[in-house]
Amino acid sequence: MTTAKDAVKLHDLCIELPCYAMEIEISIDDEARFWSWFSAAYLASAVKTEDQDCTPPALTRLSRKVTSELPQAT
Amino acid sequence: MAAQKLGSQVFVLDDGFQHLRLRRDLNIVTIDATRPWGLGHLLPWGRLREPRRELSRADCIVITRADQAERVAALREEIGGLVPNKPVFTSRMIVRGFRCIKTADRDMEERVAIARPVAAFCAIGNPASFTMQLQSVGYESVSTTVFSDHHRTPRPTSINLSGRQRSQALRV
Repeated sequence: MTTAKDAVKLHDLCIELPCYAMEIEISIDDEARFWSWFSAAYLASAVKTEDQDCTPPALTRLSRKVTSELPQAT
Repeated sequence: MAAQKLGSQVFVLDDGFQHLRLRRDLNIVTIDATRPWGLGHLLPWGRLREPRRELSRADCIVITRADQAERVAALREEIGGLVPNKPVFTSRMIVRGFRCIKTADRDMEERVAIARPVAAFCAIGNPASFTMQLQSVGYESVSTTVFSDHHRTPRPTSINLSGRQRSQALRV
């Protein structure tokens, strides 16, 4: 067993035993709060950079997407 | 290069925080809960790239591996003392599955039908976290080989399995 980070260096691995890479992902505990912060922080940042004509469209779309997908506050 | 060749519009950089000349939209600083302050010293005596006070440049802080450490509340409080007005989040690593390296199979399995025990090897900054993560999903490692972080060819030259354990592994 190894990590996904190490596995990319092992494409030519020669070993008799079965060999697997463990794939992990990060899970933020209060995800809705994180995305809420991210949207606001990114939009604030985008406003700053818009004047310089370098707002990355993909981030704008992402920000809109996550904002629309946020769970409704209870 | 990624922008030109792949059309990338969003870049998430590892170790970009201390690259001061790099223009960025947001600084998201991650702090590993299992060893938050890198032995308390800057490189080369510790693992800190910058003094703690530089956290003030962060837009938010994400504590990682919060489930693998004790005293996370105290760490959160300490971070809050350093950067009182910045949001602090906690997070954990989740095992998504396992991918077979030898077959270069891109399919991922939630659980591998592996005969226990397993041998682990890695070349990452926090190898204890890797073995702990393996344990958390039921794979107890009987042989762990740790290479230095960023080792170019991390491959085990010897795996400490008994004859019986080896034959169990090969039976899969």
